[in-house]
Amino acid sequence: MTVAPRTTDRFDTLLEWASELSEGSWSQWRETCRELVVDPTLAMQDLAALGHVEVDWSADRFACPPPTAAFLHRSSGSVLLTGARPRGLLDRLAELESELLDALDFFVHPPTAQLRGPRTVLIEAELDDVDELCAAAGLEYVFDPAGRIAERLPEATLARVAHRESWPPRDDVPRRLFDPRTFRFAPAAGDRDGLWWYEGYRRDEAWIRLRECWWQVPTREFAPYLAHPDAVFLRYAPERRQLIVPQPVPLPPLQARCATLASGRLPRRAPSTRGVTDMVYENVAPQLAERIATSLGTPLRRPA
Amino acid sequence: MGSSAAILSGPSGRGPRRSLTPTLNDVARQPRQTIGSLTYEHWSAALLDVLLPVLPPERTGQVVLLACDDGVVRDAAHALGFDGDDPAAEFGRLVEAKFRIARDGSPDTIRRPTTLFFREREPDAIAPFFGACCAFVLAASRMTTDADAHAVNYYDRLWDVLGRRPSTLPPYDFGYLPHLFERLAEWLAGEVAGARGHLYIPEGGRPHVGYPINQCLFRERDKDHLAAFFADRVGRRRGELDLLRLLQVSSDRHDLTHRARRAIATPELADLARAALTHAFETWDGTRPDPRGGRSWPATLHLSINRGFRLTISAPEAPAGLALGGGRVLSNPAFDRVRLDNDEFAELTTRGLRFGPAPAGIYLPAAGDTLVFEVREDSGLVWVTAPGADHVFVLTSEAGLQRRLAAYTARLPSFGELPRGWNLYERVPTGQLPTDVADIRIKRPPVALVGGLRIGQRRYLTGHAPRIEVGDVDEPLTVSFNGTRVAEVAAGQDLQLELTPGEHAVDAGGLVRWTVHMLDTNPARPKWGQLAYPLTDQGARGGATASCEDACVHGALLSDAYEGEIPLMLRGARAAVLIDAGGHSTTLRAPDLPTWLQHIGLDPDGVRWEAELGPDTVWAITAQQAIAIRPLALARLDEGARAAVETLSQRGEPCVRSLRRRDREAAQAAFDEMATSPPPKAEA
Repeated sequence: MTVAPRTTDRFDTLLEWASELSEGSWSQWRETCRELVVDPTLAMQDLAALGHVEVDWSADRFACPPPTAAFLHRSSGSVLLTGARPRGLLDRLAELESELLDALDFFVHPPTAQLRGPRTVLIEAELDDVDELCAAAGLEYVFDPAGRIAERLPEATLARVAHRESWPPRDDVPRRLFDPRTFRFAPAAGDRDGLWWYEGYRRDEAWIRLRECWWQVPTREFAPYLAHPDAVFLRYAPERRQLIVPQPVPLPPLQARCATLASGRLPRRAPSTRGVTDMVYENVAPQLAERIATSLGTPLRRPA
Repeated sequence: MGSSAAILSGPSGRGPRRSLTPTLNDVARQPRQTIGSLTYEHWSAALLDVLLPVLPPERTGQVVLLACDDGVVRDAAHALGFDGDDPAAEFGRLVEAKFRIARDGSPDTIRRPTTLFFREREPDAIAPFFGACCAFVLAASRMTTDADAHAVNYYDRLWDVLGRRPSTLPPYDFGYLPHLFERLAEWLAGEVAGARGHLYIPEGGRPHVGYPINQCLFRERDKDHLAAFFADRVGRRRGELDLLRLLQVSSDRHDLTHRARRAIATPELADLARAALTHAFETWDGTRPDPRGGRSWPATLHLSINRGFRLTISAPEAPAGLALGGGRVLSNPAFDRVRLDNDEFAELTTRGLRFGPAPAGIYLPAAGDTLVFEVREDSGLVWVTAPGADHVFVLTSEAGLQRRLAAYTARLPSFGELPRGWNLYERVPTGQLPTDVADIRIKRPPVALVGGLRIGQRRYLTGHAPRIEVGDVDEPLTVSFNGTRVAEVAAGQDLQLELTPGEHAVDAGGLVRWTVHMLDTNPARPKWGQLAYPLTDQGARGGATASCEDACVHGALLSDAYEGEIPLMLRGARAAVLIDAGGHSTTLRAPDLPTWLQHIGLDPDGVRWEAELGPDTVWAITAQQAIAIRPLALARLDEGARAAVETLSQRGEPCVRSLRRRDREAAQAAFDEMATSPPPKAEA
């Protein structure tokens, strides 16, 4: 049997493999995650939030965007290394530090590990030098992706993000009903209005029953927000610039990407007074938090 | 398929002439052949090419068998364009019409044409007795018993093949058969010069009919066991497995007839046995033998729980219209479900369940007292013997297991419908299953190359080579790399490969041979950015896509370019004076240090902060430096701006820089101009 690598190395290896492959199928992803002892779905969600991969769930395919330097606000003028991270890229950056010592002003911070993702690589640079640095290193450059993507997020509605079905979901698949007060799913009888979670092989499916109509929500993270628009899920601490999201109602992919790319770090898991684990996104500007909440049609409150 | 090479030279050098035996090319020109238009000679030619095709030069002279069975006759019929329902019957009728074997109860009528054939020495002609030999072996292939002594069994099959029974009573005189097969071997070795191989005549068995029986590798009974072997060990995807080697190391071989076991163990017959197995696999219909007789399509057991406990079965591979008994018919096998009642469930757990009359139906094997279900994307909860999911549903009547899984007891809308004594447990982590149930997880393919970081077909990243997993085989497999034996791997064991960069030939016990490439990087890596996330409803519904024509996102990249200004970064300063184009100043205080940077190891005291600039900001001046946003020497400065410039200029060598590197010289000049030639004060 192979010896599983350390947790922090697994995600770097996964990213390196995905970058060398460039694009592949879900089954390839799952096979590699099994090899690396990593949960495939969570890994896919997390790497997508970090901007390392894109996923087409309907075609069961993933692809890596090009290696990218993304400017982050309130990061000491740093760019985050995101997108593909093929073999040798970090070595190449280290070489460039020596080669361009006199021409460009930049510094590659030592990569920082994180529990459920690849190491964070920040390059502090004179911003006027970033274009030239990117050209030398083969990187794309993007300014403030978190804020700019958030500005363009369409507001989620049932009509926009769900499919209305004239028949109820398959009855032979186990299901549970979501309780927005406890954030839990539990078996329930009958066909009540609300968010139903139908068990799936890869992951559960979200179905909203509303006034005797059934709506299937392909990107299921939208479902709790759409099914319970008045429930308070999101909280924001402006003094710490933290967006706090209960783990059972994670942000949809692009909203999660905005929140994640504010710092380049996956959300921290923290216990909550609400009885569930919270995901704490760092370095989220008030406007960004507000924009994310608005895109989901959900209220944003200060933490208790 | 090669031609039968039937253009003959005339005897005694009288020049070429056309043989009475047609060539395959002749019959191929006639697209559809009806019953009556094909002769015995046509069939002989077609069977010769199907059974004993001309071998490539490097294999000339190899040992062959005349392994004629119904599948071979069907192939020959296909090559002939025969459009009748029963090609074997038509072929047998023609053999009988030519030699009257069944009528006489003897093959003696073949003796004369055989003698004439060898006397006249027509070198390229097809031996006239070849078709008859095929018929004799075809009969042997249909034998249902193993024992060679059951000659009656053979004769019955032969009369079936020939379409009539003798008018005389047994014993029959088949003493010519050994001679006939030896003449066949002589012809193949001499006249055809081994181009179609040398006939192997195994010894043993009955003195006369033993000769055709010995030519037959697998009988109908073997075919049943092979179907089970294919169903259990191979599945629909054969991959690169060597079926013969797999059979040699699988316990399934013990179920075969003595003759078949001997054939697969005889090295001289390896190619023949391999070809026969491949033919059997390729013509396998997906059924497996039913313990109650006949062959059945495997069924799938489904569990539904949302509106009460319900078990149903489906058989998507069964043919449409299959009658299941009790008035039930599978009219649409892909979707039809048959509900099980409690009696049928009890039967399933103890004996297995079969629906439909013999010889064809659908079946589920005996399930025992614990059934594990996992969710399949297309069919809901299905019973599995080797769960691959992390969480499963468990239906069990075993008291110990019920206690162990109590925490996972399913909360069903109604418990009354569960069979008495049975409980259902939901979302049980597979690791929580007791060993005897979890053991089913180790059910593996016989041998497989698994794991590693695969970036292409048998291509892996260096440092992450695959490993070999060995499943249920009877003997350890010898693994070799590049011809060097490295290990023996027994059933249930793994071997982690340690491979250097480059190409490696890996052999796993002769069962399969792989060429493995270890690569530092992917030389065939497609371009990055093949998927984009549309910033539209399409993206919200389906995520990224390969065909995005709207505004979209690739990871952190946006499709539309950033048009704004880059921010000004300041290090160490507590405040900055911003001066606009009119010379007006505002003081900007440094924000609180971003504490999140501590999480990534950055010292907050050393970090830079962003000065938010107005659209008209021209200069930013701190206690240490002046930064030109645009390198302009302002004609007017207000009091605050003037003070900031003068304070900085009084330092020995004031540090002047610019937001843009290209403006550095102009910035220095502009600052010097502002500092040395004080402009008039701007109006407050």
